Amino acid sequence: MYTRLGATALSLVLMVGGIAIGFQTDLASAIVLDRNGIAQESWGAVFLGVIISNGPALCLVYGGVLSGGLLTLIAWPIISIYIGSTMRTGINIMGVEGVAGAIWAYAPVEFVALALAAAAGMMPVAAAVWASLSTGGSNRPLRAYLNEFPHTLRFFGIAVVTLLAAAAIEAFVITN
Amino acid sequence: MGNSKNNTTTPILSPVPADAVKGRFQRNTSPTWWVLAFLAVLFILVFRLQLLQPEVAARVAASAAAVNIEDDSVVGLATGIGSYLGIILSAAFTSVYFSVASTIESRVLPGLKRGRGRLQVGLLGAVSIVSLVGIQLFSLLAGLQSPKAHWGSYLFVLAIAAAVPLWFHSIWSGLSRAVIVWMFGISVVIAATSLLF
Repeated sequence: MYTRLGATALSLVLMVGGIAIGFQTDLASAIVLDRNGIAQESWGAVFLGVIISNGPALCLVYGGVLSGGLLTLIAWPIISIYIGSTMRTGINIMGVEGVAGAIWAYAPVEFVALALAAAAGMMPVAAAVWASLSTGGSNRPLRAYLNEFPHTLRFFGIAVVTLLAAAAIEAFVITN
Repeated sequence: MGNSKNNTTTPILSPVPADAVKGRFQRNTSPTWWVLAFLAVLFILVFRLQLLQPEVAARVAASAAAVNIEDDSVVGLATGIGSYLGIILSAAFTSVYFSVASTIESRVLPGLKRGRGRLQVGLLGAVSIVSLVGIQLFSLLAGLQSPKAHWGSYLFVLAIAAAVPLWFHSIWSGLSRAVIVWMFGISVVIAATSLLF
């Protein structure tokens, strides 16, 4: 229980830290925004495009499950920095109201999905560290690591459903 | 401070601690020490990074990969990503390092502990905490980019590996020479690992 809460808190801290660092950098001159033609596509095509774009990121941040948390600890901060820098660029181009008006309905949901997947990716290693250092718990790191797998799948499942919901909303916003 | 009770009930060096049959290992070092040490290392790392930031940014800008990048913001972003990942991975490796030290000392040297309750500390717990926090502090004060860049770091680690076990002398005195050599050997390995951060 504590390890899941800890992993979730760590995931949020990494996200906020990454967004804050990314937000300090203005990549307006390095990024070319081209959304012409997207609005003319069908809801299904946009939905699929969003899933193809965000799905791998979700799987990547969950990858820590099989890599002792390492993949999550590398990928999640970089994705968070990317989110922060694109947010800054968007604000510079469209203004705060423009960005907020465009993404408020789905971006927070996407962030929640990614944060949940990242938390799930760090849960096994958090459980192993807890078992090694605490006087409570199973007290056996490897067993604690393996026992955490089913719980990570539950978290990842919730993250996938959340991402699908965000993609559906995003597709609706873009096509309307 | 000597823990005479543990001297009589728990073997100092044992591959199978007495309480392992119940499926649990008693931890030699209390979580309080681990948490305090982790926070200290994190604080020092962040402080060190802030001091080294200009030098790191200059090195990134001069690197072969970045020399052809004209946009300063991209170089700045690369530096930000590198610094952030450096802190995160160092913190993660610190957790793993402490976990390994805790697991080894609980299973191999279960009787080597001093203090009681929330202030109890084991041999390898003391070695890993003092060596890692000390080496980070030394790097900060000496302005080192890496602890391995200065001979003083090696000397410090060796001194910790030799001195901390002496603090537990009242517990292990009288044991066979092989056990004592084994104990000092593990102490050196654990202390030397702190140089990798």
